[in-house]
Amino acid sequence: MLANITAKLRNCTCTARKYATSALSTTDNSTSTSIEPRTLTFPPKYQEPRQIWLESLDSIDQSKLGLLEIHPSVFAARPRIDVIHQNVSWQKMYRYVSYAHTKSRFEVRGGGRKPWPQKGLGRARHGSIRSPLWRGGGVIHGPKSPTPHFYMLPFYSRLLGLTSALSVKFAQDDLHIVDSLELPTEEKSYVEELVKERLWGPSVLFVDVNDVFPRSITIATDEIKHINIMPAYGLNVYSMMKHDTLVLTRAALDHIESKILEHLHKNDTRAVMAKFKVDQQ
Amino acid sequence: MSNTTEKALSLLRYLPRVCLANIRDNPGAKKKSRRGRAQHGGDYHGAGNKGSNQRQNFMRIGYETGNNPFYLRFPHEPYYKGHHLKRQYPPLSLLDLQKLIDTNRIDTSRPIDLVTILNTGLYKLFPDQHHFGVQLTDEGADIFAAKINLEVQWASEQVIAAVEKAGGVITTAYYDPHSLQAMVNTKSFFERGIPIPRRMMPPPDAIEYYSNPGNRGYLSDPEKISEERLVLAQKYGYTLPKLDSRILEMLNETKDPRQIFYGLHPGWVVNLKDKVILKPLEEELKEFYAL
Amino acid sequence: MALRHKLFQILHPILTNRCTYSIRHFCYKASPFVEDLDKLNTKYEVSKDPEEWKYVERALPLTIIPEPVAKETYPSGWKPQTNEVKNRPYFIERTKNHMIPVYLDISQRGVRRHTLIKRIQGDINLFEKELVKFLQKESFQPIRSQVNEFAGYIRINGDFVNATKYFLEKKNL
Repeated sequence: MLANITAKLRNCTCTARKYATSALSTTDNSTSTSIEPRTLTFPPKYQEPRQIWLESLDSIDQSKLGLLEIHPSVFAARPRIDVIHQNVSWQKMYRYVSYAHTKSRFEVRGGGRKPWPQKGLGRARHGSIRSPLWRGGGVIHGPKSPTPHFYMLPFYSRLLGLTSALSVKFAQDDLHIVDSLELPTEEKSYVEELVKERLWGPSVLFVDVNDVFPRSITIATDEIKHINIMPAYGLNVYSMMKHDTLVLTRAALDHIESKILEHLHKNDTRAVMAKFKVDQQ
Repeated sequence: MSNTTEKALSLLRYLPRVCLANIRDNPGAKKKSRRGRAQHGGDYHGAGNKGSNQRQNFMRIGYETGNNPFYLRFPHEPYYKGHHLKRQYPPLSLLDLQKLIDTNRIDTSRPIDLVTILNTGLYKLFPDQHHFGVQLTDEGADIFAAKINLEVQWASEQVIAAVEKAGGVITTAYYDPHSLQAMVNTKSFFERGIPIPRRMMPPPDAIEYYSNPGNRGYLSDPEKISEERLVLAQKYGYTLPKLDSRILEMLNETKDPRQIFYGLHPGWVVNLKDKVILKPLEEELKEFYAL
Repeated sequence: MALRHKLFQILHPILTNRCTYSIRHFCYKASPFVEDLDKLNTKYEVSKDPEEWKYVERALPLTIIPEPVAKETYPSGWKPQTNEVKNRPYFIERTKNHMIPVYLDISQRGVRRHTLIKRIQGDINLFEKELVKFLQKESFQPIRSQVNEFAGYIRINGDFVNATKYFLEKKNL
C-alpha cells in the first residue's frame, strides 16, 4: 500500500530538497567547530540521531553556525496525524463553554393551569399550554446554558501529539534552531525581510525558555500578528500547526528535549492522570 | 533497513505542509450517536414496547415485579462474615522479584523492604483498601538466586527456604495503615511536613505470627531464628550457605520495631526543599518517639 | 441606640460575614489550624548530616527507569537485547521497561484470546511466516493471524504468548 503512494508521489512535480531526514552519511566536519556539540541523554537505541543547522538572526541572509544533534524520539517520532488532530480538538474544546439555552416546559412563561377539563369537550386532553406538543411550548432535550465541554486527553496522547508535531515540523524543514533571539535592530521590517529572504513561510513562532524575551525581538514582532513569540512552557500542538515555521533557541531546544525525554522514560506512569480520575484506583 | 516511521517521515517531505486545515482523525474513531430513523433503529428506538421501560421509568435492579426477589430470598449465612475487614497482602512472586533485580530496578547492595518495592513503580499498594503490605509467593522459588536482605509482610515456608538457600536473609514485619500511607508515596509524605510516625505494634491476631521464629518474625528472638534456619535447611534438603562476608553488614541491617524507614527515626521532619532534617528537642516528644 | 445597632451588626448573619451555624471544612488541608502557629515554641534542631540525607534519598523513588546492568547470568530468564539485532531482516523493539512487547488480549468474557506482538520493525511478513510455521506445531487448527504493516503489529488468534516469547528468545531478537 505504501509503495503505491510513493510511486504516485514520485511522478508529481514538486521541488523537494534532496537531503533526507536521517543522519548525513558523509562525515562533513569542515563546518566551523566553534559551537558546542550536544550530547544526547537517553542514547537512542533504534534510530539514528538527527542533525539540524544552528542558525543566527544577526543578518537578514542565511547564516549557519554549525550542526547540532537532536534526539530521534522527540524529532523523528512517528508522525501521528490523528493524534495531532485529537490534540488540536482538545485544545479547542476543553475550555469551551456553550451558552446556548432553550427553555423547557417549566421555564416557558405560563402553562401552570389545565387549559380545559379532561373530559366532556371532545377535544384532546392536555395539562398545560406549554407542553412540547404545543406551539410555543418548551423544547425537549434542548441545549442548556452553560454547558462545559471539559475533558482531559490522556497524558501520553498529549505527549505523543507534541512529539508528532515536532517531528512533522522537522521532517518538512519548518524547524529552525537559533543561538539567540537578539536582533540588531528593533525595526519590524527587519524581521519581515528576514522571514521573506529565508523562505520561512509567512507565519513564524519564536520559542525561548524564559518568558522575558530580548527587547529587540519583542518590539519588532509586536505589531506583526503572524509572527509570534512564546516561552517554552507554552509550546502546544495547536500553535505549532497554526504557524508555518517554528524557530527554537538552543536553550529552548535543550529544555524541551530534556522534558519530553524525561516523560518518555518515566518510572511511575500512573501518577500523571491520577488527579483527573474520580472514584478509580 | 528502514521502518515505517522513517518511511512516513520521508513521505512527509513530498506532501503539503501539515496545518490545521488538513488534519483529521482516523476513519471510525468518532462514532456519531444519532437517534435511529426508518426501518433499522427507528420506531421504538431500542426502548421496547409500552411498559415502564419504554416510558423510561425503570424499576430498581433486582426488583422482580412484586414477588420476593432472588437477592432477598435467602437469609444471610456467616460464610464471608467480616471478609471486608480482613487484612489483605497483594502478592509479589519470587520470579517478579528476580526480574526486578535482573533489570536493575532494585539495588541488591541495599536492604530491600516494602518502600524499595513500592519505589520501583511496578508494584502498587492501596492501604485504604485494607492492604497491609507485600506477600511473597513461591512462583520462581526454584530459580531464585540473589543474596538479599529482604523484609516482607507475609511469606510461606517455601519462600523463606528459597531466599535462605540463595544466601539471603528474610524477615517478616508488620506496618500499620498510618505508616503504610507514609510509605506508599514517600515524596508526597515528606512534602506534607509532618513528623515521621512511629510504627504501631501488630494487632492481637497477628502478634503470634510476627513473634514466631519459624516465620522469621521481626519480634522473635534472633537466636531462635538461626536455629529455625538450620531446621528449614534440613527439611528442604539444602545446605545452609554461609552468609557472604562482603555483604554481611548489609545482610544484618535491621529496623527497630518502631521505625518505618531505614536510618530515619520517628519524630523527624524531612525538609526536601532545603535538604535538612528537623529533629525535636522537647523532652515530651523525645519520650514519645523513643529517641 | 448605638449599642443596639452594634449588637445588630454583630449578630445579623447576612449583614456580617459571621456564620451562626458550624462550618465544616471538606478536608484536612482546607481547615485552618486550631491555634496560631506563631505562638508555638517547640524546640527543634536542624541537621544537615550527609549520612542521614543518604537515607532520605534511599527512601525516595526513582524518577527515571534505570538502565539494566550487564551480568553473566539472569536467573529470571530475562535477557537484554544486543545491538546487532538491527542487522537482522526483522526485529522487535523492547518496551520502555526493557521487556518483550508480546501481550495477551482477552475479551468477550474470557472467550476471545488474541496474542498481540507489537513494535515490529523490518520485514513483518517474513516474521509472520516464520512465527506461524513455528506456532502451527502447537495447534491442530490452522493459525489465524492478522498483519498490520503500517502500525507494526501482528495479532494471532489464540494464546501463544509464551510460545512466541520462546521463539523470540531462541532467535535472540
